Amino acid sequence: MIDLVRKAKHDDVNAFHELYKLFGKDIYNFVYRLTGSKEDAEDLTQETFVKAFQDLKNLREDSRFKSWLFSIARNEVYQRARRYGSRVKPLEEEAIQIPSTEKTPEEAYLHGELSDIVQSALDSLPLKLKTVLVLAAIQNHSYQEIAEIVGRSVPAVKTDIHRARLKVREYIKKYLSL
Amino acid sequence: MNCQLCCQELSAYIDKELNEKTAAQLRMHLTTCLNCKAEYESLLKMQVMMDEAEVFEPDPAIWIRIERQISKKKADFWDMVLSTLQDLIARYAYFIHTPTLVGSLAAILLILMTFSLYDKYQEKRALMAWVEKHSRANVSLEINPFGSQVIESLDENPFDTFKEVSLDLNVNYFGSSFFSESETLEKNPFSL
Ligand SMILES: [Zn+2]
Repeated sequence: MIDLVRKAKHDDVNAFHELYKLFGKDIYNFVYRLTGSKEDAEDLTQETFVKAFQDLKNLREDSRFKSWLFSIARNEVYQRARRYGSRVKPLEEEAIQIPSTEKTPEEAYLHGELSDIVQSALDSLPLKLKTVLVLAAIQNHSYQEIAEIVGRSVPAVKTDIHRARLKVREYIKKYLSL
Repeated sequence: MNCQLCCQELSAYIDKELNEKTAAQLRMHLTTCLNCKAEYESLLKMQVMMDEAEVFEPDPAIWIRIERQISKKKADFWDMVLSTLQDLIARYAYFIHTPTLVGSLAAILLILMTFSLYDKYQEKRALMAWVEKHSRANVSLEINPFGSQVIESLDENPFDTFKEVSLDLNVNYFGSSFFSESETLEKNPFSL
């Protein structure tokens, strides 16, 4: 991976394609879970990798590429959230309102669509909590990596992940027995 | 370990982020405390849901768009103009009378190219004037508005330095000569 990063730094598009093959799907799923929208996820994945390619020379430690890439993706999501203004309130403790599914969680559950329930539960969270929970509980990043991605301390991340879990559970509890 | 601490650490325990000592204490507490055990199982059940949540497959077209965009960085001004025009045409084709559109776009393009060419011409002329003033050399210049290539050559003629400066300027436009200038100047070598 480090070798690919080094090559990509010298404008090697093939090496960058290999990096995309390694992390493209993770980034796509990350931004998909954050926005709940396929179109937004496609745009944001594209923007993330284009930005990464352009800024790659500023990455000092090649081994940190993955965390760095996720932090770009996170910033892109936050910027988009800010642009939508009233539709999304990223930094406040209010739920963001990106409509991702037409079904209520109950309907989704009846249709056996677990993914939809998880998504609506995530959508009930403020973006800050949603980000750390998606990284920890769905994408299995370590708390250390998450701290690097969101630019906060490990204890702060740990507290937020727990708070996010409790909130999601409250939300799902309305529909399912947990 | 008490209940409050146990509940605080459950999330980190599920994420396997606790050190072995704390994890062992927590496990011990769970064997003795039904409330905390219930809390743990509820959070674990939720984690199972998250683990089973769908993993989405990105559209392969995303990479194609990324590749196009990162290669664009190197594309020149005229490619940019053309692709912008293409985008505009694609987007507004519905509303526009095609011959008028093509006509106006061609006119705009022509004006833009002429401006750009004239700029280049002026700039190069100034450069050549400077060269003429400070050295004795043959300068030839070709400007191609399509490829944005400015081909210049400055042939220093060391054997002839003190005799004359020859200046050739050719600007090609649509393949034919647009500006053409050729001068040979006698110079007093001691004025340099
Ligand atoms: Zn207890």
